[in-house]
Amino acid sequence: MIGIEERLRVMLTDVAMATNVQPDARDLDRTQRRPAHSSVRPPTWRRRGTVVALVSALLASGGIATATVLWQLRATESPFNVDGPLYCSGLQFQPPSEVRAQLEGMGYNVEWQYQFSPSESALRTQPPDEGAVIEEIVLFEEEGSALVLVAPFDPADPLHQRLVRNEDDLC
Amino acid sequence: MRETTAGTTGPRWPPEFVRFYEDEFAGLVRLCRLVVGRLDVAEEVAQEALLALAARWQVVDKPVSYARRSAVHGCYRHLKRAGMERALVRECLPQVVPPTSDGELWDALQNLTPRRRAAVVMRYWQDLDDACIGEALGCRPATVRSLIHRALNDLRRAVA
Repeated sequence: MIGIEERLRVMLTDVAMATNVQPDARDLDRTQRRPAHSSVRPPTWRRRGTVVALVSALLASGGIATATVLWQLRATESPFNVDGPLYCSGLQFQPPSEVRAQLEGMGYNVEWQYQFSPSESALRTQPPDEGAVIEEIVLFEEEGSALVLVAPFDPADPLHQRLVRNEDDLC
Repeated sequence: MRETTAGTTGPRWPPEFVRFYEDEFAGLVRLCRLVVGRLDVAEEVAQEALLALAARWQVVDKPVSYARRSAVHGCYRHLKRAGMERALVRECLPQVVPPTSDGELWDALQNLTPRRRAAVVMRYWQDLDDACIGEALGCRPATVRSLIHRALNDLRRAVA
């Protein structure tokens, strides 16, 4: 009987062989991210406004649209990326008060975007009493400020527990 | 002016980087597809990883390792987002049709935690050793052995 390791090799090779890719270096230009390479950056108010608008749209639109918003947010150079200042910092899914302490310790002025429900959110200067940080913290390095997205979070919820386990597993 | 095969309006990519891109892109996409499951996402993640490398091309010592590490982390981020979306929006994402006849094992692989999944893919598809996998995952070789051991146990249970 074929063992699990051999079965894995066969299955993975099968999928890899079926994945046809034609590299084209011109694609690099098409997918180039603005903040990392552009010498011309939009003004601060516009960058911040864009982030707030994207965060406000998060969850309000749901489903595929949410995935799109998340994808757009990713283009703002998440500090959780490899080499980013918050990579494996342990801030994910932490309560706002703890995140505030860490970010202020790093010298940032912190603002909060709290998503009450899929359709309601608000920008605040004080950390919400509930919820947890979910993935997105946008650092405005030039201003020394940070915008933190907070969403309702239930530690007893199995789905949320799985997210935390995955996060722990990553770092 | 240095010659490049990239577009005329974009940045001038170093020729060595363009060659690297052409050699490595397909492999990175396959790695990402085996980790995230979806080809469209895999292409995006691989592209992002190579862009990150392009920005640091002059200072990165081991570009293959850097690109692999960056791609694996990109996969993590995608999987985490997909999980968050399910948890917060409470809507199911479209199911990915298993691109293999061994759908049972493919589904079991998708249910591993992202780190275990990446470790298994790099070991059993790329035949990388513990040190190389550890470099990509940002952990010690002993941790890699543990991840793979646990992943295999999970897979055995799932397909038993």
